[in-house]
Amino acid sequence: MQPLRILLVCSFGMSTSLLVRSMKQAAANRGLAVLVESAGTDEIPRARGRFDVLLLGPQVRYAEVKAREIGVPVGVIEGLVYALAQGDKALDQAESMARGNAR
Amino acid sequence: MISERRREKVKRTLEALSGSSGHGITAEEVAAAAGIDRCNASRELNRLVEAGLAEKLKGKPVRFQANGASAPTPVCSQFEATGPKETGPKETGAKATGPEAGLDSLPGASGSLRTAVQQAKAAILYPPHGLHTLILGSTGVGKTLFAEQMYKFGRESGRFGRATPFVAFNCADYASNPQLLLSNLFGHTRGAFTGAESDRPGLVEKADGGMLFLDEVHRLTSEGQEMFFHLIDRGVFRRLGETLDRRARVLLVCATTENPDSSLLRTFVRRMAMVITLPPLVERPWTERLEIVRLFFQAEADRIGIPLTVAGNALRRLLSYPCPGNVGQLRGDIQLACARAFLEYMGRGTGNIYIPTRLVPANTEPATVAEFEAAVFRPGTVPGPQPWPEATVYDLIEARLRDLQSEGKADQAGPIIGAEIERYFRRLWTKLRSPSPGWQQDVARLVGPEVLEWVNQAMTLAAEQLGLDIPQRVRFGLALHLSAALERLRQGHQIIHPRLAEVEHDYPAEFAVALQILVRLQSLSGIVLPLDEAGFIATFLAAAGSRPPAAQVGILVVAHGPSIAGALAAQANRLVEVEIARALDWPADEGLDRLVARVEQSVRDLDQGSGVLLLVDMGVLATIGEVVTERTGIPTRTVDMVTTARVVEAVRKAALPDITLDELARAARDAGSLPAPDARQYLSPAEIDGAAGRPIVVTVCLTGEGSARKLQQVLTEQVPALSSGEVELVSAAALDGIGRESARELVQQLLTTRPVIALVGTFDPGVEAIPFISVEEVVLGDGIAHLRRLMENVLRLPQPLAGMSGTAASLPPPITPSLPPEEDLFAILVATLGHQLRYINPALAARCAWRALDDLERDLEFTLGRDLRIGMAMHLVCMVEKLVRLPPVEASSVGRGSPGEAGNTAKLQDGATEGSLEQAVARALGPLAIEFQITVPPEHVLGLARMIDQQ
Repeated sequence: MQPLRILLVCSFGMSTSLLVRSMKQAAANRGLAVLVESAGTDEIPRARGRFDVLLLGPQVRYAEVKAREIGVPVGVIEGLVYALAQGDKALDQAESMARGNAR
Repeated sequence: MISERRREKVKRTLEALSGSSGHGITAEEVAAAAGIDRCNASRELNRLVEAGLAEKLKGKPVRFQANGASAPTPVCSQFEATGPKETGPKETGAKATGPEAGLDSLPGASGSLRTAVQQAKAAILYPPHGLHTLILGSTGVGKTLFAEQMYKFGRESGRFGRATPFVAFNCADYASNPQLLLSNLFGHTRGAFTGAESDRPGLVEKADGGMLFLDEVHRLTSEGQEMFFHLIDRGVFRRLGETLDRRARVLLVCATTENPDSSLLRTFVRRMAMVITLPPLVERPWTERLEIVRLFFQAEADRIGIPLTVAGNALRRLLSYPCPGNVGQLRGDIQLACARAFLEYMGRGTGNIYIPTRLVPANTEPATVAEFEAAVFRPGTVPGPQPWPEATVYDLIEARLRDLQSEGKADQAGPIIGAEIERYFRRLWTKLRSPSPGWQQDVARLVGPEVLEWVNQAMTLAAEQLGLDIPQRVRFGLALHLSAALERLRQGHQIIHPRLAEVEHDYPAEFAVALQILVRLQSLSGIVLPLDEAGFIATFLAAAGSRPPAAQVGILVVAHGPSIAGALAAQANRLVEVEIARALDWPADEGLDRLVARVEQSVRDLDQGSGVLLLVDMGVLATIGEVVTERTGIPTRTVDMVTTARVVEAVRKAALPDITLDELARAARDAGSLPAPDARQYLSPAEIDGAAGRPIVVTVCLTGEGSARKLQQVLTEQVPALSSGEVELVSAAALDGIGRESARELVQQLLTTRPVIALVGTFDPGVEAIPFISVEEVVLGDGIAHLRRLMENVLRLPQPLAGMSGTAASLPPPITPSLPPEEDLFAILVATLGHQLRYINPALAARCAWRALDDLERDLEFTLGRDLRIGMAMHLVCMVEKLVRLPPVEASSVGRGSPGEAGNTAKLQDGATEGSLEQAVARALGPLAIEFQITVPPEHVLGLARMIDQQ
């Protein structure tokens, strides 16, 4: 099975590194293969074809429209999840978005 | 109940033993085998006789036999091979290696060994006291075993009593020291030679009235031969240094591989009335060889405690392959095959141990025997699995870890296992130094040619870079180790070196080479080797490069006063958990002469050949060492101004292998020579649990006191907050070197009550949220500036926040299901950020960011909303961290303390709205930029403006 490819987007890819780590940890705990990377809003166009799901930090919600042009599911991470770096919840979100797309 | 169980036990033991001896069993033998008292055994045996379950045989001592035990279940009857001609039950029922086996039970006793057995019996029984015997035969034919069986025959035949001694001695053991060899054999008197401190009897005396077996007798010097001639001819001998004869009656049985016609042996052979020649394996019929093979497999099955299945073709090969090392080699090959099969079995974890054909030596000749079916060997009566003799270092670690965990001492695993690993490699190395015959083929066969080739390449690297001339046998040792490592990885097991950081630190050169070897091996084998394996290789190289293991240096503490020395030594021994240091107290009323005499005696007692270190307090004591050395010839070194630290250091280092007297003296002198400025070794639990105190900086060093203290001195001198005591310096360096794990735990423990500003040291324990500054940065880089900045951040904080920076970071963030109030949100933020930041104080940064967002909201008369506020705050803090670490080079940006000019970012001012928004952002960021002395580049200002603009 191909790993689920998730891109976390924030401003200049600054504040997502902890969430990236905790999502990887959460995936490892579940025995799930994932690929999680972080990027800034400027890099959204380059994500085309390379990721299955885009998750935006709450502060870059404004980039949602631009992100949708990529053609994969786009979601905004809820503030508390972001603040707590809850990898589990972010992973849940990414997974359900990916599934929604598959259907 | 108890007696019934005991009777059952006795019955079973009797049955088991009866199977291997046709002569009946004594109560004593039953008692020993069953592990019970002899009287009880005797009582139960008699009851069994009464019940008709056993029989009493005539003779003294009384022997018993289980009824129906004439055909008991012999251990080897489970052997299911069906050869063309099965050997009779009489021979299979006995175990040649078992304690009850006699001459008749040897495989081939009625075949190729028939003459030998008859000769041996005659030699034992010949009146009045038997015949001195020489056993001849090439390597590995079983001369030692044969001699043992001769003695057993003597017991069985009643020729020897129960108390008749049997003493075995290998003359090759002391061949390099003839004096020691003779002293061992004949004993010595006090003063017979240097080191002969007291009278000592030799083995000849111990064997008086019994049998003395001298293996490799050709290694005996002519002087020694002469002494034995006296013993043989006249029944007299002298201890070394003695002038009067002693009498002894000893039946000599000697063994040699040498040609008896050699000049060395000719006179000796003449004195031997019986010469027994044991045939080489190749001259023995294959049926006997089969029997031997079976016995060895059975012995392995007993030892491992798991059934062994041997492929039919493997058996066939073992019966016909060329085996110049005879039975000894056959046993070695079978053990190797079992060892490899055991490894494969461990990988599967289930089923039997299976020995496929490929694991036994290939046969170059066409097979001479018929086909076999697979054979199964089940563990016999020998209880439990025995420790595997060639356990790999991994087995060792796992076993030790298990032990420590079950004892609840998992936290001590690091140092203990570290020492264990070193010992393992040293043992391996020592073993390889004096290899057994045929070891080279053994190893090559075990690891395969490709691993040997890889190791040769690796050793070339080591030779080039470490200047190590690595002998061939060490290469084989490494090959053995690597083959085990690769095997492990192939089976999906992990390789973990619990003391990787320490090895890296202790053996930097070896570690560097080990890393290169690792990379080379990776590309050659196609197997990814973990970094930890480099730790093992480095340890191996270090062991190979070190001197031969020397005797331990003695340590003697001498001090004025009635109890100081004793207390110092006792404390050090207790701390290091050894008994190395000895003490001499010097009470005021004792004269110097008397003391010197006592020191002299103690030095003599303590010296093991490597000398003695004297730790003294002051004055005349500092000169005693010289006097003692002059008198005794034992080297000593003296370190004065003894302190606890010095004794501890000396004891600790003396416990290490291979340390010399000079090295030890230097280590002791260095210990505690630097005054420790306001720094302490350990935090007591009370201090850790106590009320939140001053913020602290923790130093972490592997090497313990010495380097930690130097580091602390440097830090204290250069960082004002440390010298003023505003911030406390705490060392996490343990006496015996602290591991990464324990350092991390200690820091995390500290974090629960006290804010930890930074970790400084030789290795990063990897504590989340706490910045680490390496010693290198302190010495060569901007480590000090970095530390100062971190401290300023913390010290400027209001006190509760300072506390929180510690607590919040160390505890998992609280999970609140409902919407948290703003204060909690802030705390959460700090906690999360704490895991991510290395350069700035998370609490301070978060507070500044929070304030900046407050200002922005006020300025714009706009509410950001919770999610946006969180996102922006996180972004801001991370941005600050990044800018502190890597300041940008652009000129026009929100600058240090010039927020007013921030708006002059000309090229970004496209639209009025965005422009004013940007200006607002820049204004809000001003205090933050000043606080952290950063310059916020315009694109970041723009980015932040966008976040707000789109809402």
